[in-house]
Amino acid sequence: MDITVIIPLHEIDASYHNYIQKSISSLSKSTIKPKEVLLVGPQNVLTQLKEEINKIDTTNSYRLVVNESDTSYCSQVNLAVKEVSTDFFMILEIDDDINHKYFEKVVEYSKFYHADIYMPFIAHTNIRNELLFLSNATAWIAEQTEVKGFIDITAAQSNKNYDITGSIIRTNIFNVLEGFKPEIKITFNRELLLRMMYIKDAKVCVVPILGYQHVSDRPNSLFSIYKTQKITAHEFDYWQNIADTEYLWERKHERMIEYKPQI
Amino acid sequence: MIDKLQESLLNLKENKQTFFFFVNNKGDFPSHQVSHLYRVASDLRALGKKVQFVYNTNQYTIPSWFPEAVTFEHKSINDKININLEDFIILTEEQYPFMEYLKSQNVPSKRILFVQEYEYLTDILPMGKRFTDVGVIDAITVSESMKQYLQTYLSPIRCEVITPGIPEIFTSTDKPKRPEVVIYYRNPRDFNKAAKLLALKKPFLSFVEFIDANKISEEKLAETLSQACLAVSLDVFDTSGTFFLQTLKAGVDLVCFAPFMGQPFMTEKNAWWVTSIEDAMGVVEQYLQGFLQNTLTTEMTDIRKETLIEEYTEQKRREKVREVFDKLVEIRIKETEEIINQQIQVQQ
Repeated sequence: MDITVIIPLHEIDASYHNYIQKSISSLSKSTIKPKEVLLVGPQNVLTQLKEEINKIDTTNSYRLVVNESDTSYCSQVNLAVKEVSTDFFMILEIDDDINHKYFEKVVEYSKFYHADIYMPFIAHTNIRNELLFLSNATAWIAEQTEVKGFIDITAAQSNKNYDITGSIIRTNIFNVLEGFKPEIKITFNRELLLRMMYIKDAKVCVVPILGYQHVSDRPNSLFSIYKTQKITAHEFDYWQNIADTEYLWERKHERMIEYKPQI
Repeated sequence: MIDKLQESLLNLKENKQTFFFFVNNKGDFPSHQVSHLYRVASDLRALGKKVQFVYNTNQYTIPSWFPEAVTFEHKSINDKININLEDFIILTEEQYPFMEYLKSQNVPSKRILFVQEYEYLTDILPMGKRFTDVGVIDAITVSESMKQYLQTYLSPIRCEVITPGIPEIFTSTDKPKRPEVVIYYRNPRDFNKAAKLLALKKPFLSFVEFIDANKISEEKLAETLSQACLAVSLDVFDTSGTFFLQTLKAGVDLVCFAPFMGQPFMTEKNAWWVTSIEDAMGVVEQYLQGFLQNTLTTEMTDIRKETLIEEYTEQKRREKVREVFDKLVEIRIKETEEIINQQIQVQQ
């Protein structure tokens, strides 16, 4: 099972150096190496970052994917996945890190449990590294899903906490569906998960390992901005509702999605 | 009289005796003790012996979780049952009153005490009474340590050992382990207590499923153990170590109450030995965190793999059943011959 890791560089500020060391370092310690790591972002950022990475990680092979126009997270990932040559890929956000045995565990599981998406348990922490909550673990509670450890469409629809972040995803399904819908804010992960399951009957297996650590409250992160500055409760509900209805449409360009604030 | 004795002797020598297993109604709950009893009966039947189950309660539930049980004939004590001198009655320790009844009615046949647990040995036995008072001088039990115990307290009873044979369905697999913990217990309250204590202390581990080993069939238990990440035994009165052996064969690590009566295969390092539920769940918590981080070492797993348990196979148990019952029949033949000789001397 070959895996490509994609690191989108969509929110670049002065503090990102502090975080990228952690994520790259975790990648360098992985007991199974990804076939390739794709860094996607503006040319000037990539050039500078590549030099930094060379000092931290000499074990992995990095390739730059230049993205000059739209630097949103979703469009960067969509662009990078087109460059992926392996059957599976994973997105590693610059402020997150992976368990050094995450890939090993997924490979072990993939030999017995065939799936299109392998989800880790995600430890959501604050910037002080304190555990806030776990996501995806409920897939192992018998009453939550039809088959323990697998998320079916009914379970995914009813439980909004299933999180595709850090998942190892089958490349061709992602590409056939044209990936994320960048117009969707906040809930683009959930919309993609539901769309992959609904339209492509993607099998989702939750691998019981704390495979991915996500920092939930990094200042200036995408979600931090959503939560603290830009998003009203009404808009938040709107995007939740979009995710729960939009997945029925296969292509991202079929419909325009735009939030219009109520006056 | 002598003619009848001679006929019984001939029947004994020609293996025409019947082995009656007297059982109490235990409901339809999986139990190592019940399955061991049925397995011994099954081994006897496979050796060509006649076997019949008799229940001395108003009702008897044939254990559905042990599929072979239904293939045996089960009769009520109120049905017409012919028990002859050459026959054997196998009774458990809780049937002492019935042993008294058999003696008072001069029911012929040899009685064998089948004791699997010392914990209940004296529950029914009246103060000052002994099993030898009701004509029981031979016993079968499940381990050498139990044999020593019985010889200490039930002397002069003779004792044979038939250890449990763990079926081949208990086997380790290469399948990845699941976040499931299988708990075996003596006191039903302990299962809930253990699960709830962990959930109270570490809510984020609430997704871990605790599986009640006492409520699932053996087949299901074997399948579950082979995939669970950990097993827990909360039974200080365990005398056969059946669950311990099942976990060894299934290749799952174990947190275990240190039993009062240890077994040879229980070594210092092939389980985490604890003395309270709180300690047990403390180990479970640490283990689960290691499981989720994938930082567990294989030290205990490796030691458990090396634990010698060849004596506890079904084949070994079958061989032992043949050996023990052949010996008991031989004893019965000698006893009958002695009675015949006494009768002849009386007549002369």
